[in-house]
Amino acid sequence: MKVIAVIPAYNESKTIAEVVKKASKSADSIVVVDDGSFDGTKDSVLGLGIRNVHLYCHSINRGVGAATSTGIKAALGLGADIVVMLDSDGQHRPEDIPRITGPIRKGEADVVIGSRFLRKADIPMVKRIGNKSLNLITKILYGLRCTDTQSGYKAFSRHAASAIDIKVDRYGVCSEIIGEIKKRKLRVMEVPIDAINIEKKGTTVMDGIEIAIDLVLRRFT
Amino acid sequence: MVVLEFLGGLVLIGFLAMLINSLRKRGTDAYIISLIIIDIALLAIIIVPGSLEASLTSIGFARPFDAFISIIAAASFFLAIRSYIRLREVERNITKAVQKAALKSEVKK
Repeated sequence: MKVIAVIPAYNESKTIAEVVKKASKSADSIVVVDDGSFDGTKDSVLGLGIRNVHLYCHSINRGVGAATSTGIKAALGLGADIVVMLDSDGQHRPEDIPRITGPIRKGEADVVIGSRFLRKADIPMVKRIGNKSLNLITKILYGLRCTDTQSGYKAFSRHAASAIDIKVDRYGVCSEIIGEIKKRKLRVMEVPIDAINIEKKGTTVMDGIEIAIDLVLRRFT
Repeated sequence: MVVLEFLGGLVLIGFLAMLINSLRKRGTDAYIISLIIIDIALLAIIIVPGSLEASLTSIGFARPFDAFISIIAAASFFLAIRSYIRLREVERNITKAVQKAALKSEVKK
């Protein structure tokens, strides 16, 4: 089964090279989507010289949701059987790709979500509360229970990647994907992953509030 | 005061006619419909203040002006939601164009 890792990136020139190098050892191909970066992220990727890395660039910044959607379309176009999404800021361990794709290979799931909350982890209280709040809102709006709705580390079977229709451009994409999983009746599983440097990375409290408001407005308009 | 009300009424009737004409040409438009509702409410306050006051009092408004403010508030809320939806559509179209251009040309060294 062809595994393609999709890495959306915005101004991550410091970390993208390391993430791509590690991911290339666990995936057959890498798709990097540069979402209008201006810090040389594109050059960091091109400078790697790794053969199976495909780079696509947005001319202007459109958000992680838009970059995710572009990456999934690119991966499907390259013949992916499994599409793995991971973050470009080093929050996720690319070495976990085999574990996160395992249930899909075995035919046990269509979507696998890497959850930071399934094992004991040193996650700041603010992030825990924020995540739980968004989990609750997602459960109320979309009817699917998940311990880490905002996790950017996910794997999709080809069928699931083709079925999911991403319309959200920015951070709300994680919750939208949960909604799509429920709507398309996809089989979903969670596997534990490590949260690396989470206090410095990821969404802020203001991002969380914005996501919550956007979720509610999108659900009812 | 009667003269002022008369002139005000004429202006509002003229404005109403313009809005209805605009609606006929452009089809259903939330903004025009909202303006029509506000215009009719203002006309009603001017033309039939007495009967209007009695009807409005019976449904909970102390004065016609209170009803007018409530209508304005509801129309503003509706327009805000409508603007949000329109803006989202525009943002979506921009994203589609950017994605199409990106997927067409993979960046190679």
